[in-house]
This record gives sequence, structure tokens and C-alpha cells, in this order.
Amino acid sequence: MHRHLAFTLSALLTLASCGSSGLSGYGTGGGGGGGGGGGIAGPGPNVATLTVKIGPAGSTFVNIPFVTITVCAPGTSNCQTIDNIEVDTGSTGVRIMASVLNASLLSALPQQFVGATATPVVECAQFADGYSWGPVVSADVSISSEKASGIPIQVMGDSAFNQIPPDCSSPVPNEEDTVGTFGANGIIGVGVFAQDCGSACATSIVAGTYYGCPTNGAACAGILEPTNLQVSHPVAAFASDNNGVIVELPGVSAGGAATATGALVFGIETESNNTFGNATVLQTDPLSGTITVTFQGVPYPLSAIDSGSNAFYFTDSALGVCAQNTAGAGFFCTSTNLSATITTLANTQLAANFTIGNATTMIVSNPLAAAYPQLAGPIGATDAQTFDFGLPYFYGRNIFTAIEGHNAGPSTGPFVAY
Amino acid sequence: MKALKTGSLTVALTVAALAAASRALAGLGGDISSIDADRISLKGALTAFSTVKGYAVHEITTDAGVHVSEYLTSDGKVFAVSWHGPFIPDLQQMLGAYYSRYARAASAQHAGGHRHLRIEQPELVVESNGRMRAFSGRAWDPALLPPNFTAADIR
Repeated sequence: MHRHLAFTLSALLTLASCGSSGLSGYGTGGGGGGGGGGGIAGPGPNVATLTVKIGPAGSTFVNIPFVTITVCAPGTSNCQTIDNIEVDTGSTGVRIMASVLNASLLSALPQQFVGATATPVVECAQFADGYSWGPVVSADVSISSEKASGIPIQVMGDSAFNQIPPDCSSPVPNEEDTVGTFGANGIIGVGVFAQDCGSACATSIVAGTYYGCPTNGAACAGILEPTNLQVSHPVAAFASDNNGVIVELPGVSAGGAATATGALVFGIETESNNTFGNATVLQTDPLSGTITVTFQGVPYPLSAIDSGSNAFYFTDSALGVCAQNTAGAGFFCTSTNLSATITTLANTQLAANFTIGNATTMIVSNPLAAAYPQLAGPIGATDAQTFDFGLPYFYGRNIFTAIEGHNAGPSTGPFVAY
Repeated sequence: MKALKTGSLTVALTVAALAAASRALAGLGGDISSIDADRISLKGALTAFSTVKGYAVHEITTDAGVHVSEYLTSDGKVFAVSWHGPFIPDLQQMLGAYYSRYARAASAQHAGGHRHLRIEQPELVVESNGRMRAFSGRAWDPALLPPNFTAADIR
């Protein structure tokens, strides 16, 4: 959703002396609970505060969860604490915008090189709406009391590497290398995969992924990138609590809230605050990380439960789409209760009930909100592949995401559970 | 002449002519020969041929495991393309002459976060969805859709 719309509306509201509120209270969690038992985990060494709020200046999206992390040059006290880091269960790896790193730290993060000529490795990170380009460096990444030492991360938008290869930009020609265009100071990808690309990039050169960019200014060229050098899951590198995460968010009232504060809990079945409780494990496809969602009789094989998606996105031609030039343009303007069925490879089936609202009404009524639990939109006229349970599905739930190959209680990742 | 065998199609082209023509002929709006240009550019193989409502669909599978489908009118013009797989394919190749307007629209501010992009213009619709290792999308020219063929038929 475009933040400039919200600005316009908030100005109107101010004129009307309505104040900024409408931030009705949200559920307060179970106090010290967490995990599959419900409630939000209290403070602990494996718990980071997770906040859905308006992002940093220039960002335009709602329903984005943020945490604060600390990035250090490996093994040193040259560190920087960075807020407004998006938490994304639909990608893997830490990516930080170069513009938010102080010069001392940026220059101290060791560049990864390839080949005998020590050519810098630079990554093109693909998203459905654009790409981020920048070098692969090594860093210590800390969050709560957990620490990943010397992991490969990406620095997005580093001006030292300003020649973007054509096959990086050609899939979706929208560079997202500023805080404003990306919508965050960085991202912490805590999805089901241990690395962002995996074996595909280690066994063949894949366009739009990893490149070697010679320091003499010659054109970047695609490279093979071994999995152990790829931008990787930070949690897998923790000394403990390293098999996955739980995103815990309170329920939010239907009309939306200015903020929603929950927890990002590290580890699954490793501590008293991250047990399954009554959660159902949904194994995801080992290659795509997806689940199959059946909605109105149609199976969608590339579906996901994804904190990095900011709404429910699916196909239902019976639902009205908000008109262009209205606050909810691009989203649904119908309020209704819906139900889908999630089916996994192991043939586990789980009913998924959810409620969507009129996007224009919710935005006009509560223009300063960042958390809209009923925001939903069409994924395309009729996308044949994807049903997307985005962040709205996380409100009032504790949703586990386990890393491939890692044991978690009686189960083994990759899976999601709730 | 170098013969390039592609499943049921055998297309003879000089390498030089191909290099010069591949972009111009490419993808959406191109003729049937553009499918082979796309196949070569995408480093893929023609893996399936089917029909939807009587219209030919050529499926290319790339080395990287991306499935690309190209839909042909009865007179052999590409009116739609779709894709799904672990990466987003080279849309400059697949969108051909439509690419520049796609590029202008893609860089405009949008509402869908990092998982969705939808561009809708009178002569071009592009939908890009998904996440790392699980992308999908479609693009078509509504003006080229054959009679009785709707966007829902583009899979």
C-alpha cells in the first residue's frame, strides 16, 4: 500500500480533528507463554521483540514485521545496532542496506572473493517485485542473546559495485537498493532453506544470482557459488536454538492497529518457550519450500505462509477489487469469511479459516495503522500457482518455520507449523 | 547452416542470423520462430507441446529448472507467456518488444510488498509472484488473446 495515500488521508483526518488513533488494542498474549501453547513469549535469551509498525522513512508497505539486530566485523567490537530489519520467513539470509551502515563498519566487513585473481563476489537477490544488488561479505550477526559468527551476508546498494549485470535486472527491472524502495533498513530471511540459492547455484551458473565483479571495471560474470559461501540462514549458525524460529504476534482488531508487538523466538523444542504445544506440522516441499493450498476446489501448489508477504493474496473472482484511485486500490473491497485447506507432501490436512475486509474502508477509517489483519488482494486475474497466507494470517498465532535438515522435536525441517 | 533439433521442431538458422535476430523476434508478440530464440537464450529445452482450447502451447524447461510456456495464436503469434520455478526467467527475452514498457511500469511504486507485482495496461498485463525458489508469473497482451480465450486459461 502506498504510504503517500496514508499521508493524504491522515492529513484529512487531522483537519477533521479525529486525532491519530483508531489504534484499538490488540490481544496481550499469554504472558510468558509462547511456542505452540499460545501467547507471546516473555523476554529471554532466545527472544527478540518483533514489531509491526510503520517502517523507516521512505518505506511504503504495511503489515511488515521488524526487529533490531547488531552487525559486527567478524571477531571485533566494530559493531552497529540496526533497527527496522524486516523479518521474512519467505527468504533466507541477512541483507543490510549499505546506506545505513557507518563507513567504519562497511569498510571493515570482509569481502568474499572468488578465483585466483581475488574477484569480489556480488549477489543479485531476486524478489517478485524487484532485485537487490550488492557484495557478499562476512559478518557477525547478533539478535537477542544469539549470535551467528562470520556468516555470509549481502550489503545491498553498495556504491563500490554500481554496474548491474543485465541478467540481474531483466527479470524484474526494479532496483530496490535504498531504504525507501526496499521498505526496510535490511532483511533477516529466516525461511525453511539453509541458504538463499542452495545447490542450484553450486552446480551450475544461474543467471541473476551470484557474480564475480573484477576490480578493474570489467563486466561482472556469473559464477558458481558453493553452498557454504552463499548468503545463509543466520539462525542455523547460532550455537544453540538453531533449528528454526517462531513468529509470535498478538491478535489485532479487525480495523487495524498502529502497531502490533510480538516476539521472534529462536529454536523449536529447544527451550521451555518454544515447544510445539498443539501445533500441527506442515512439511514443505524440499525443493520449493511451498505447501499446497486448496481453495474453492482448486489446488495451488506454490503456496506459503509467509511473514514477508504483506496481505492475503489469492484468486477469487467473486470478490470485488477496490477501484483505482481509492485508498485500497489493488486490494479486495469485499468483507467475508473464507476457508481453505492446506495439504502437505505427507498428506497432512489443515483447515485454514480467515476473514478479509474492505481495504478502502479499513485504510480510510484508520489511515495511520501499520497492522491490518484483514488486508487481502488478488494475486493476479487468476494465478494458477500461488495462494499466499501473508502476515495477516500471523496475527493471533504462533507460526513455526523449521530449517531444512534440522530436527525439531519429532519432526525434521523443512516445515511450517502452527 | 547449423541444425538445432528441438523436440518435434527442427529449425535451421545460421548462428550469426540468430544472434542478430533473437531479441527482435523474441517472446510475446513474436512469431513461432521466436520460441526457439527464447529457448536458446534461456538455455532451455523444448520439453512439452500441448494445446489449450485449440491453441498451441510450447513449454521450455531451462537448465535452472524454470518452466516457461508460450501460447500461440492460430497464425503463429505468441500472445501469452507464463513461468514457474526456482528463479524468474529473463523477461527481456520473453517479453520482447513489450519489455521497455514493462520496465517503466515495474519501477513505479507498488502496493504488494516483495511477493507480488501486477502491471495492467491496455496492451500488456504482467503478474510476478512468489519467493526465493518458488516464483511464478504470467504476461499477455489482452489485445492478442484469441476469441474464447481468457486470462484464466494462461497457466
